[in-house]
Amino acid sequence: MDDRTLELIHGDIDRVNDAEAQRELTLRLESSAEGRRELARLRHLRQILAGETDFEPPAGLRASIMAQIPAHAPRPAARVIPLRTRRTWFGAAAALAATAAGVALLLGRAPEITELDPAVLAGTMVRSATEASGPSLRLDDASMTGAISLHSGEGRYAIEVDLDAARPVVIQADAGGAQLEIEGFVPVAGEPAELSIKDGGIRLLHRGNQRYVLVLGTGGGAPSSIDFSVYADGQLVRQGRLTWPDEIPGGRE
Amino acid sequence: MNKDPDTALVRASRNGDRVAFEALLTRYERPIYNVAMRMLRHPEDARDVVQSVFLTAFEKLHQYDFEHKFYSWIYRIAINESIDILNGRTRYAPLDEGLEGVDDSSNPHEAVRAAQLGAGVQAAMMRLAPDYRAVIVLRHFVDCSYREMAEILGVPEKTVKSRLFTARQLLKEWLDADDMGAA
Repeated sequence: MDDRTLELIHGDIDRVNDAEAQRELTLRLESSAEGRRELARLRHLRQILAGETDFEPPAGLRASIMAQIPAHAPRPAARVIPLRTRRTWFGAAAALAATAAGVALLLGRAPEITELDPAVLAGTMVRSATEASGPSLRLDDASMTGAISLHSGEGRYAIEVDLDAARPVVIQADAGGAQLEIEGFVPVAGEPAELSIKDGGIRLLHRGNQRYVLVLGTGGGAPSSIDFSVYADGQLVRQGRLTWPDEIPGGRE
Repeated sequence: MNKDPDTALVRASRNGDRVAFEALLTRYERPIYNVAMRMLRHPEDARDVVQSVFLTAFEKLHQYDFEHKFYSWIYRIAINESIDILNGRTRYAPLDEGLEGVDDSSNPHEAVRAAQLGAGVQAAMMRLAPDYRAVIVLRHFVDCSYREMAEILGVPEKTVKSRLFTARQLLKEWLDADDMGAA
Protein backbone atom coordinates (compact mmCIF):
# COMPACT_ATOMS: atom_id res chain seq x y z
CA MET A 1 0.00 0.00 0.00
CA ASP A 2 1.43 3.39 -0.93
CA ASP A 3 1.90 6.31 1.45
CA ARG A 4 -0.87 8.39 -0.12
CA THR A 5 -3.46 5.67 0.39
CA LEU A 6 -2.30 5.21 3.98
CA GLU A 7 -2.53 8.95 4.59
CA LEU A 8 -6.07 9.03 3.20
CA ILE A 9 -7.07 6.05 5.34
CA HIS A 10 -5.85 7.79 8.48
CA GLY A 11 -7.57 10.94 7.29
CA ASP A 12 -10.79 8.95 7.16
CA ILE A 13 -10.19 7.60 10.65
CA ASP A 14 -9.61 11.15 11.94
CA ARG A 15 -12.49 12.51 9.85
CA VAL A 16 -10.29 15.18 8.33
CA ASN A 17 -10.66 14.19 4.68
CA ASP A 18 -12.62 16.67 2.60
CA ALA A 19 -15.01 15.43 -0.09
CA GLU A 20 -12.31 15.34 -2.74
CA ALA A 21 -9.92 13.37 -0.53
CA GLN A 22 -12.70 10.96 0.39
CA ARG A 23 -13.48 10.39 -3.31
CA GLU A 24 -9.81 9.75 -3.98
CA LEU A 25 -9.73 7.23 -1.14
CA THR A 26 -12.79 5.44 -2.52
CA LEU A 27 -11.16 5.19 -5.94
CA ARG A 28 -7.92 3.90 -4.51
CA LEU A 29 -9.64 1.31 -2.34
CA GLU A 30 -11.55 -0.07 -5.32
CA SER A 31 -8.30 -1.53 -6.56
CA SER A 32 -6.69 -2.30 -3.20
CA ALA A 33 -7.93 -5.16 -1.09
CA GLU A 34 -5.12 -4.48 1.35
CA GLY A 35 -6.28 -0.88 1.68
CA ARG A 36 -9.84 -1.97 2.35
CA ARG A 37 -8.69 -4.36 5.06
CA GLU A 38 -6.54 -1.66 6.63
CA LEU A 39 -9.41 0.80 6.70
CA ALA A 40 -11.75 -1.78 8.23
CA ARG A 41 -9.23 -2.65 10.95
CA LEU A 42 -8.50 0.96 11.79
CA ARG A 43 -12.20 1.80 11.94
CA HIS A 44 -12.64 -1.13 14.28
CA LEU A 45 -9.78 0.15 16.42
CA ARG A 46 -11.40 3.57 16.51
CA GLN A 47 -14.63 1.95 17.61
CA ILE A 48 -12.89 0.02 20.36
CA LEU A 49 -11.19 3.17 21.64
CA ALA A 50 -14.44 5.11 21.48
CA GLY A 51 -16.08 2.42 23.58
CA GLU A 52 -13.71 2.98 26.47
CA THR A 53 -15.53 4.43 29.45
CA ASP A 54 -14.38 7.50 31.33
CA PHE A 55 -12.71 7.31 34.69
CA GLU A 56 -14.29 9.08 37.63
CA PRO A 57 -11.95 11.40 39.54
CA PRO A 58 -11.60 10.45 43.20
CA ALA A 59 -14.00 12.10 45.61
CA GLY A 60 -12.52 15.04 47.42
CA LEU A 61 -9.82 15.72 44.85
CA ARG A 62 -11.19 19.13 43.91
CA ALA A 63 -11.54 20.19 47.53
CA SER A 64 -8.03 18.97 48.26
CA ILE A 65 -6.63 21.08 45.41
CA MET A 66 -8.58 24.17 46.41
CA ALA A 67 -7.32 23.80 49.96
CA GLN A 68 -3.78 24.14 48.62
CA ILE A 69 -4.51 27.21 46.55
CA PRO A 70 -3.30 30.33 48.35
CA ALA A 71 -5.76 33.08 49.16
CA HIS A 72 -4.05 35.54 46.83
CA ALA A 73 -2.91 35.22 43.25
CA PRO A 74 0.72 34.12 43.29
CA ARG A 75 3.32 36.41 41.87
CA PRO A 76 6.93 35.53 41.43
CA ALA A 77 9.09 37.12 44.06
CA ALA A 78 11.11 40.02 42.77
CA ARG A 79 13.87 42.03 44.25
CA VAL A 80 14.89 45.51 43.34
CA ILE A 81 18.53 45.24 42.55
CA PRO A 82 21.11 47.60 41.17
CA LEU A 83 21.83 47.49 37.51
CA ARG A 84 24.86 45.69 36.33
CA THR A 85 25.89 47.51 33.23
CA ARG A 86 29.15 47.93 31.52
CA ARG A 87 28.92 51.60 32.21
CA THR A 88 29.07 53.29 35.58
CA TRP A 89 26.64 56.04 34.68
CA PHE A 90 24.90 55.24 37.91
CA GLY A 91 26.57 53.94 40.99
CA ALA A 92 25.03 50.77 42.25
CA ALA A 93 23.84 52.40 45.45
CA ALA A 94 22.34 55.34 43.60
CA ALA A 95 20.51 53.04 41.22
CA LEU A 96 19.22 50.92 44.02
CA ALA A 97 18.03 53.89 46.01
CA ALA A 98 16.44 55.51 43.00
CA THR A 99 14.63 52.34 42.07
CA ALA A 100 13.44 51.69 45.57
CA ALA A 101 12.24 55.26 45.84
CA GLY A 102 10.48 55.02 42.51
CA VAL A 103 8.74 51.81 43.38
CA ALA A 104 7.92 53.05 46.85
CA LEU A 105 6.26 55.99 45.20
CA LEU A 106 4.09 53.54 43.37
CA LEU A 107 3.38 51.69 46.53
CA GLY A 108 2.63 54.86 48.42
CA ARG A 109 4.99 54.30 51.28
CA ALA A 110 8.34 55.45 52.46
CA PRO A 111 11.27 54.58 50.24
CA GLU A 112 13.11 51.52 51.36
CA ILE A 113 15.09 48.77 49.78
CA THR A 114 12.90 45.76 50.16
CA GLU A 115 11.39 42.72 48.60
CA LEU A 116 8.71 43.81 46.18
CA ASP A 117 5.56 42.17 45.09
CA PRO A 118 5.48 42.70 41.33
CA ALA A 119 1.72 42.40 41.48
CA VAL A 120 1.64 45.71 43.31
CA LEU A 121 4.07 47.23 40.90
CA ALA A 122 1.94 45.80 38.17
CA GLY A 123 -1.03 47.75 39.39
CA THR A 124 0.37 50.83 37.77
CA MET A 125 3.12 49.64 35.57
CA VAL A 126 3.59 46.00 34.75
CA ARG A 127 0.92 44.15 32.89
CA SER A 128 0.68 40.98 34.92
CA ALA A 129 -2.05 42.30 37.17
CA THR A 130 -3.66 44.81 34.86
CA GLU A 131 -4.84 44.04 31.43
CA ALA A 132 -4.58 47.76 30.66
CA SER A 133 -1.02 47.28 29.59
CA GLY A 134 0.85 49.65 27.38
CA PRO A 135 1.73 49.05 23.75
CA SER A 136 3.50 45.80 23.00
CA LEU A 137 5.75 44.47 20.33
CA ARG A 138 5.08 40.75 19.93
CA LEU A 139 8.13 38.62 19.28
CA ASP A 140 6.78 35.30 18.11
CA ASP A 141 8.48 33.05 15.65
CA ALA A 142 9.70 29.48 15.53
CA SER A 143 12.43 30.11 18.09
CA MET A 144 10.91 32.63 20.48
CA THR A 145 7.68 33.76 22.00
CA GLY A 146 6.98 36.83 24.09
CA ALA A 147 6.79 40.59 23.92
CA ILE A 148 8.38 43.90 24.75
CA SER A 149 5.95 46.32 26.38
CA LEU A 150 5.95 49.90 27.57
CA HIS A 151 4.28 50.96 30.79
CA SER A 152 3.83 54.28 32.50
CA GLY A 153 2.09 55.79 35.46
CA GLU A 154 2.63 57.74 38.63
CA GLY A 155 5.48 59.61 37.06
CA ARG A 156 7.42 56.44 36.26
CA TYR A 157 7.85 54.64 33.04
CA ALA A 158 9.30 51.29 32.16
CA ILE A 159 10.19 48.76 29.52
CA GLU A 160 9.09 45.22 30.20
CA VAL A 161 10.68 42.27 28.42
CA ASP A 162 8.87 38.94 28.74
CA LEU A 163 10.46 36.53 26.32
CA ASP A 164 11.17 32.84 25.99
CA ALA A 165 13.92 32.48 23.39
CA ALA A 166 15.46 29.21 22.27
CA ARG A 167 18.60 31.00 21.14
CA PRO A 168 20.36 34.19 22.36
CA VAL A 169 18.61 37.36 21.28
CA VAL A 170 19.92 40.92 21.24
CA ILE A 171 17.36 43.65 21.90
CA GLN A 172 18.40 47.17 20.98
CA ALA A 173 16.28 50.09 22.25
CA ASP A 174 16.83 53.56 20.81
CA ALA A 175 15.02 56.81 21.36
CA GLY A 176 15.89 58.68 18.22
CA GLY A 177 19.16 59.99 19.55
CA ALA A 178 17.80 60.95 22.96
CA GLN A 179 19.57 59.61 25.99
CA LEU A 180 17.83 56.70 27.71
CA GLU A 181 18.58 56.52 31.39
CA ILE A 182 17.86 53.53 33.56
CA GLU A 183 16.99 54.09 37.18
CA GLY A 184 16.45 50.54 38.15
CA PHE A 185 15.80 46.99 37.26
CA VAL A 186 13.10 44.60 38.49
CA PRO A 187 13.73 40.94 37.69
CA VAL A 188 10.35 39.23 37.64
CA ALA A 189 11.64 35.91 36.38
CA GLY A 190 15.31 36.23 35.57
CA GLU A 191 17.33 38.97 33.98
CA PRO A 192 19.25 39.65 30.79
CA ALA A 193 22.62 38.02 30.41
CA GLU A 194 24.11 41.38 29.59
CA LEU A 195 22.96 44.99 29.56
CA SER A 196 24.89 47.88 28.11
CA ILE A 197 24.38 51.52 27.21
CA LYS A 198 25.78 52.90 24.01
CA ASP A 199 25.08 56.12 22.13
CA GLY A 200 22.06 56.77 24.31
CA GLY A 201 20.49 53.41 23.49
CA ILE A 202 20.09 50.26 25.54
CA ARG A 203 21.34 46.88 24.42
CA LEU A 204 20.14 43.69 26.09
CA LEU A 205 21.48 40.22 25.53
CA HIS A 206 18.59 37.93 26.34
CA ARG A 207 18.88 34.19 26.88
CA GLY A 208 16.18 31.64 27.63
CA ASN A 209 12.90 32.34 29.38
CA GLN A 210 13.24 35.64 31.24
CA ARG A 211 10.96 38.42 32.32
CA TYR A 212 12.22 41.72 33.69
CA VAL A 213 11.43 45.41 33.85
CA LEU A 214 13.74 48.34 33.23
CA VAL A 215 12.59 51.39 35.15
CA LEU A 216 13.62 54.44 33.17
CA GLY A 217 14.73 57.80 34.51
CA THR A 218 12.69 60.92 33.84
CA GLY A 219 15.39 63.43 34.62
CA GLY A 220 16.03 64.40 31.04
CA GLY A 221 12.42 64.06 30.00
CA ALA A 222 10.99 60.88 28.56
CA PRO A 223 11.18 60.14 24.85
CA SER A 224 7.80 59.99 23.14
CA SER A 225 8.63 56.64 21.59
CA ILE A 226 11.29 53.97 21.48
CA ASP A 227 12.49 51.98 18.50
CA PHE A 228 13.22 48.35 19.17
CA SER A 229 15.37 46.11 17.00
CA VAL A 230 15.66 42.42 17.76
CA TYR A 231 18.54 40.32 16.46
CA ALA A 232 19.11 36.57 16.52
CA ASP A 233 22.26 34.99 15.16
CA GLY A 234 23.35 38.45 14.02
CA GLN A 235 20.26 38.86 11.82
CA LEU A 236 17.55 41.46 12.35
CA VAL A 237 14.41 39.43 13.04
CA ARG A 238 11.97 42.07 14.30
CA GLN A 239 11.73 45.82 14.40
CA GLY A 240 9.08 48.14 15.75
CA ARG A 241 8.34 51.46 17.38
CA LEU A 242 6.38 51.73 20.62
CA THR A 243 4.88 54.98 21.87
CA TRP A 244 4.23 55.61 25.53
CA PRO A 245 0.60 55.08 26.47
CA ASP A 246 0.11 58.14 28.68
CA GLU A 247 1.52 61.51 29.44
CA ILE A 248 3.82 61.19 32.37
CA PRO A 249 3.37 63.94 34.92
CA GLY A 250 6.65 65.70 35.32
CA GLY A 251 8.30 63.42 32.83
CA ARG A 252 8.10 64.49 29.23
CA GLU A 253 8.62 68.11 28.37
CA MET B 1 -8.60 36.78 17.96
CA ASN B 2 -8.67 34.32 20.82
CA LYS B 3 -12.26 33.21 21.47
CA ASP B 4 -11.28 30.82 24.18
CA PRO B 5 -14.32 30.40 26.46
CA ASP B 6 -11.94 30.08 29.41
CA THR B 7 -10.39 33.51 28.95
CA ALA B 8 -12.60 35.38 31.41
CA LEU B 9 -12.07 32.74 34.09
CA VAL B 10 -8.32 32.75 33.52
CA ARG B 11 -8.16 36.55 33.77
CA ALA B 12 -10.15 36.51 36.98
CA SER B 13 -8.04 33.68 38.40
CA ARG B 14 -4.91 35.61 37.60
CA ASN B 15 -6.20 38.41 39.77
CA GLY B 16 -6.69 36.04 42.66
CA ASP B 17 -10.34 35.12 42.16
CA ARG B 18 -10.59 31.69 43.77
CA VAL B 19 -14.16 31.15 42.60
CA ALA B 20 -13.03 31.61 39.00
CA PHE B 21 -10.16 29.20 39.50
CA GLU B 22 -12.48 26.64 41.06
CA ALA B 23 -14.71 26.97 37.99
CA LEU B 24 -11.72 26.11 35.80
CA LEU B 25 -10.90 23.22 38.09
CA THR B 26 -14.49 21.98 37.88
CA ARG B 27 -14.39 22.21 34.10
CA TYR B 28 -11.08 20.40 33.66
CA GLU B 29 -10.72 18.10 36.66
CA ARG B 30 -12.37 15.15 34.95
CA PRO B 31 -10.72 15.55 31.51
CA ILE B 32 -7.29 15.97 33.06
CA TYR B 33 -7.81 13.00 35.37
CA ASN B 34 -8.82 10.91 32.37
CA VAL B 35 -5.77 11.99 30.38
CA ALA B 36 -3.57 11.05 33.31
CA MET B 37 -5.31 7.71 33.80
CA ARG B 38 -4.97 6.83 30.14
CA MET B 39 -1.32 7.78 30.21
CA LEU B 40 -0.49 6.11 33.53
CA ARG B 41 -3.17 3.53 34.35
CA HIS B 42 -2.57 4.20 37.99
CA PRO B 43 -5.23 6.01 40.07
CA GLU B 44 -2.85 7.38 42.69
CA ASP B 45 -0.42 8.68 40.08
CA ALA B 46 -3.30 10.15 38.09
CA ARG B 47 -4.56 11.90 41.20
CA ASP B 48 -1.08 13.31 41.80
CA VAL B 49 -0.95 14.55 38.23
CA VAL B 50 -4.26 16.38 38.56
CA GLN B 51 -3.10 18.05 41.77
CA SER B 52 0.20 18.99 40.30
CA VAL B 53 -1.34 20.29 37.07
CA PHE B 54 -3.72 22.66 38.81
CA LEU B 55 -1.25 23.88 41.40
CA THR B 56 1.31 24.48 38.66
CA ALA B 57 -1.30 26.22 36.53
CA PHE B 58 -2.26 28.52 39.38
CA GLU B 59 1.35 29.39 40.12
CA LYS B 60 2.13 30.08 36.49
CA LEU B 61 -1.04 31.83 35.41
CA HIS B 62 0.92 35.07 35.06
CA GLN B 63 2.98 33.36 32.34
CA TYR B 64 -0.05 32.16 30.42
CA ASP B 65 -0.24 33.70 26.96
CA PHE B 66 -3.79 34.56 25.91
CA GLU B 67 -2.80 33.96 22.30
CA HIS B 68 -3.14 30.26 23.06
CA LYS B 69 -6.08 28.22 24.23
CA PHE B 70 -6.16 27.56 27.95
CA TYR B 71 -7.01 23.90 27.47
CA SER B 72 -3.98 23.44 25.22
CA TRP B 73 -1.83 24.90 27.93
CA ILE B 74 -3.28 22.79 30.72
CA TYR B 75 -3.25 19.58 28.68
CA ARG B 76 0.36 20.24 27.88
CA ILE B 77 1.16 20.43 31.58
CA ALA B 78 -0.79 17.21 32.16
CA ILE B 79 0.97 15.29 29.40
CA ASN B 80 4.38 16.50 30.55
CA GLU B 81 3.65 15.62 34.17
CA SER B 82 2.47 12.17 33.10
CA ILE B 83 5.53 11.56 30.97
CA ASP B 84 7.75 12.68 33.84
CA ILE B 85 6.11 10.07 36.05
CA LEU B 86 6.46 7.41 33.36
CA ASN B 87 10.11 8.24 32.91
CA GLY B 88 10.63 7.99 36.65
CA ARG B 89 9.01 4.61 36.95
CA THR B 90 11.42 1.79 37.53
CA ARG B 91 8.86 -0.65 36.36
CA TYR B 92 5.31 -0.54 35.24
CA ALA B 93 2.73 -1.59 37.79
CA PRO B 94 -0.34 -2.35 35.72
CA LEU B 95 -3.76 -1.52 36.94
CA ASP B 96 -5.15 -4.92 37.74
CA GLU B 97 -8.77 -4.42 36.94
CA GLY B 98 -9.42 -7.93 35.72
CA LEU B 99 -13.05 -8.29 34.99
CA GLU B 100 -14.14 -5.86 37.68
CA GLY B 101 -16.82 -3.56 36.49
CA VAL B 102 -18.42 -6.07 34.17
CA ASP B 103 -21.90 -4.89 33.45
CA ASP B 104 -24.05 -7.82 34.50
CA SER B 105 -27.26 -6.16 33.44
CA SER B 106 -26.61 -6.92 29.77
CA ASN B 107 -26.00 -10.17 27.98
CA PRO B 108 -23.32 -11.92 30.10
CA HIS B 109 -21.31 -13.05 27.08
CA GLU B 110 -21.29 -9.56 25.60
CA ALA B 111 -20.42 -8.03 28.94
CA VAL B 112 -17.49 -10.38 29.47
CA ARG B 113 -16.33 -9.82 25.91
CA ALA B 114 -16.52 -6.04 26.41
CA ALA B 115 -14.55 -6.27 29.62
CA GLN B 116 -11.91 -8.44 27.95
CA LEU B 117 -11.72 -5.98 25.11
CA GLY B 118 -11.33 -3.07 27.50
CA ALA B 119 -8.57 -4.84 29.39
CA GLY B 120 -6.88 -5.69 26.09
CA VAL B 121 -6.99 -2.08 24.94
CA GLN B 122 -5.59 -0.88 28.25
CA ALA B 123 -2.77 -3.40 28.10
CA ALA B 124 -1.98 -2.45 24.52
CA MET B 125 -1.99 1.25 25.39
CA MET B 126 0.52 0.65 28.15
CA ARG B 127 2.86 -1.07 25.72
CA LEU B 128 3.09 2.12 23.68
CA ALA B 129 6.00 4.46 24.31
CA PRO B 130 4.85 7.65 26.11
CA ASP B 131 5.06 9.85 23.00
CA TYR B 132 2.87 7.43 21.04
CA ARG B 133 0.50 6.95 23.93
CA ALA B 134 0.08 10.72 24.21
CA VAL B 135 -1.09 11.11 20.62
CA ILE B 136 -3.61 8.29 20.96
CA VAL B 137 -4.95 9.82 24.17
CA LEU B 138 -5.22 13.30 22.70
CA ARG B 139 -6.76 12.18 19.42
CA HIS B 140 -9.11 9.42 20.49
CA PHE B 141 -10.03 10.39 24.05
CA VAL B 142 -9.74 14.19 24.05
CA ASP B 143 -10.71 14.61 20.37
CA CYS B 144 -7.94 17.08 19.58
CA SER B 145 -7.20 18.13 16.01
CA TYR B 146 -3.70 17.64 14.56
CA ARG B 147 -3.02 21.34 15.07
CA GLU B 148 -4.13 21.24 18.70
CA MET B 149 -2.04 18.17 19.34
CA ALA B 150 0.97 19.86 17.79
CA GLU B 151 0.47 22.84 20.08
CA ILE B 152 0.03 20.70 23.18
CA LEU B 153 3.00 18.47 22.45
CA GLY B 154 5.22 21.22 21.06
CA VAL B 155 6.00 19.31 17.87
CA PRO B 156 5.12 19.91 14.19
CA GLU B 157 1.84 18.54 12.82
CA LYS B 158 3.83 16.25 10.57
CA THR B 159 5.36 14.62 13.65
CA VAL B 160 1.93 14.29 15.23
CA LYS B 161 0.61 12.46 12.17
CA SER B 162 3.63 10.22 11.97
CA ARG B 163 3.36 9.25 15.65
CA LEU B 164 -0.37 8.70 15.31
CA PHE B 165 0.02 6.41 12.31
CA THR B 166 2.70 4.36 14.05
CA ALA B 167 0.80 4.19 17.34
CA ARG B 168 -2.35 2.95 15.63
CA GLN B 169 -0.40 0.44 13.66
CA LEU B 170 1.12 -0.97 16.84
CA LEU B 171 -2.19 -1.03 18.69
CA LYS B 172 -3.87 -2.74 15.79
CA GLU B 173 -1.16 -5.39 15.56
CA TRP B 174 -1.19 -6.11 19.28
CA LEU B 175 -4.95 -6.33 19.45
CA ASP B 176 -4.95 -8.58 16.37
CA ALA B 177 -2.40 -10.81 18.06
CA ASP B 178 -4.67 -11.04 21.10
CA ASP B 179 -7.58 -11.83 18.80
CA MET B 180 -9.40 -8.69 19.87
CA GLY B 181 -8.91 -6.49 16.92
CA ALA B 182 -10.45 -8.61 14.20
CA ALA B 183 -12.96 -6.60 12.29
